[in-house]
Amino acid sequence: MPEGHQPFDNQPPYQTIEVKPIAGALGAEVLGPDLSKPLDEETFSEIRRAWLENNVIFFRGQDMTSDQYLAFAKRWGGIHLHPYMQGLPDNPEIFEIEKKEGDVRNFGNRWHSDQMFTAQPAMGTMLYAKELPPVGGDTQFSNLYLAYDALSDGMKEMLGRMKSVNNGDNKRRYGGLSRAERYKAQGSSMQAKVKDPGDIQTISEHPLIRTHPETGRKALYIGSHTEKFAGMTHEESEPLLNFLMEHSHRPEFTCRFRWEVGSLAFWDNRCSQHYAINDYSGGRRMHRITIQGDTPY
Amino acid sequence: MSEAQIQDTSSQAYERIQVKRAAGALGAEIAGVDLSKPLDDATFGEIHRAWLENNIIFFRDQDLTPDDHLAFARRFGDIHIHPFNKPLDDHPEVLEILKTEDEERNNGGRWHTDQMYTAKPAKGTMLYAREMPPYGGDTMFSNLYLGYEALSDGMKAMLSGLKGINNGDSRKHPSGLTRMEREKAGLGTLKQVVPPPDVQTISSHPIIRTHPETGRKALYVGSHTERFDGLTDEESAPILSYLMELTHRPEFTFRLRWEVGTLTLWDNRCCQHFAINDYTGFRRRVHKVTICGDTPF
Repeated sequence: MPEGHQPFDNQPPYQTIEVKPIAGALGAEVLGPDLSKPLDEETFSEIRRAWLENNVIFFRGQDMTSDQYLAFAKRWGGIHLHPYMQGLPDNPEIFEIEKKEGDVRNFGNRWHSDQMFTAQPAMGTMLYAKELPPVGGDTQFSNLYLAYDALSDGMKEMLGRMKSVNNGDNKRRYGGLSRAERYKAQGSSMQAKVKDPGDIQTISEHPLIRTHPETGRKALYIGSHTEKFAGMTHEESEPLLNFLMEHSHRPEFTCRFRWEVGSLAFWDNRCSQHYAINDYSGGRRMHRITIQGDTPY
Repeated sequence: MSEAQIQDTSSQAYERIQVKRAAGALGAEIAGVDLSKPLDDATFGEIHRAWLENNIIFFRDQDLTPDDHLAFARRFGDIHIHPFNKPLDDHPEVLEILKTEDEERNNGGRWHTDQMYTAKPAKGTMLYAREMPPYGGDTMFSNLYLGYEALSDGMKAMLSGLKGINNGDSRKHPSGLTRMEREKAGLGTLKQVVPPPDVQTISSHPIIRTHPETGRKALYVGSHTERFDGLTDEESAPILSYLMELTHRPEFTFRLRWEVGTLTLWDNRCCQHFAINDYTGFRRRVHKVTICGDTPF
């Protein structure tokens, strides 16, 4: 088995689910469970193991109400709310991501790890496909364990002493525009959902090399929210940051998921980045739930 | 940053074949064809059109001998012989690309277009899957028309006068070694031969290339491009690395998952590709036939 899908030692074969990797680096389809129904402990714990071993898992052909979807998400922890984006009016824990006909931009077409700009970034993200274009709109994922493993010993040691500064509203990256200004300028239908984060911390320092609290593996913890290294200037940070970002999504570290209506993806933000590909013209609607995480170390 | 200009170029309906686009940027599956049998001109004409419209096409579940493979390739033109790679003994026009369970390096794990270092680079490449790992070993493709169209007018104007120097055996390879040196050091991936003296392996080609059949312009760069003609390495590096990064933005790409019996045909005049090395421990074997092209303009 390629080193991406690192199985835990001495584990029996899966009993209640079938797990089919879709690439060498990360990503596996999980066959068997009907997520609209309550899961017994054994099934749930096997799904958890598959998630930790594969960084991102996919379920196809699911048919869930919002309540059933939330019930599944809450098995993993409390719900994390996006500081800048409003949820559905009747279900504020579900954030609807939509690109409508006529929208030019989509949401999430940067390599990133969700809400890593907060003090306790979302541990995991669930995305459930409600409407899709006939072609296009795939999502790519990258394995940040592999990105770490592939660094030289000298680089690992150097980065191990450094922290990143992660900004949820990094105007430098978007021509000086804030989130609200940017969505407005683009005429994006997402602009109505932007909210003021209020007191929530939206610029956070985190270790560049993060230890996953459950697997114990080390990951290169960066994403498009990372604007510089703590204690350094933007200019000083830029060359190394560019190298690390490019390195983190080398094709060997990635997988690409082609959605169908009813697909649910669940990824681990502590050890993966993702990228929503904007190669289609409208008509894509997804329901997202994020699960609370802890303070990175 | 401008968005991918996804064009639906399928001007006419298809009557002999089914064409199913596989991503927004490029790539389409062709169904309804048995390539082991001779094709009538109308069917071949539609396949040819689908190829020009989608940059890369693929056929599933084909059962082909090397002679069948070559016969289909010859419908597109004469066979191009790889200057450096040793072909099959009994089929000197067919290259076998094999990675065994015990090998770590793969062939083609960089973004490139085939043999662009020759005076007349191969116009098309036909790859046929004979053995595949259970997962992993995908190939990514990028659309170089979209790479060109995403440039600003000023950048297009600047590049239009430039040529790239493309080197088939550059010590700028990540190993710092030539092909023969790599083979002798046990770092090679395919058996090498010394190119015939009359075959040019360093060639200067326009950076903006006009496709001779579609008339569309493409950003013609790849990993063989080592600098701009008339410029130094140092002067070339920043622009070249920017262009290389741009050409494989996720919006411009498609990722093919192989099955045994899948045959792909891509157009080297308007796409790059990348063979993903994420299947260590598994065996993968494909047959490659390339088709002669003309002098880029």
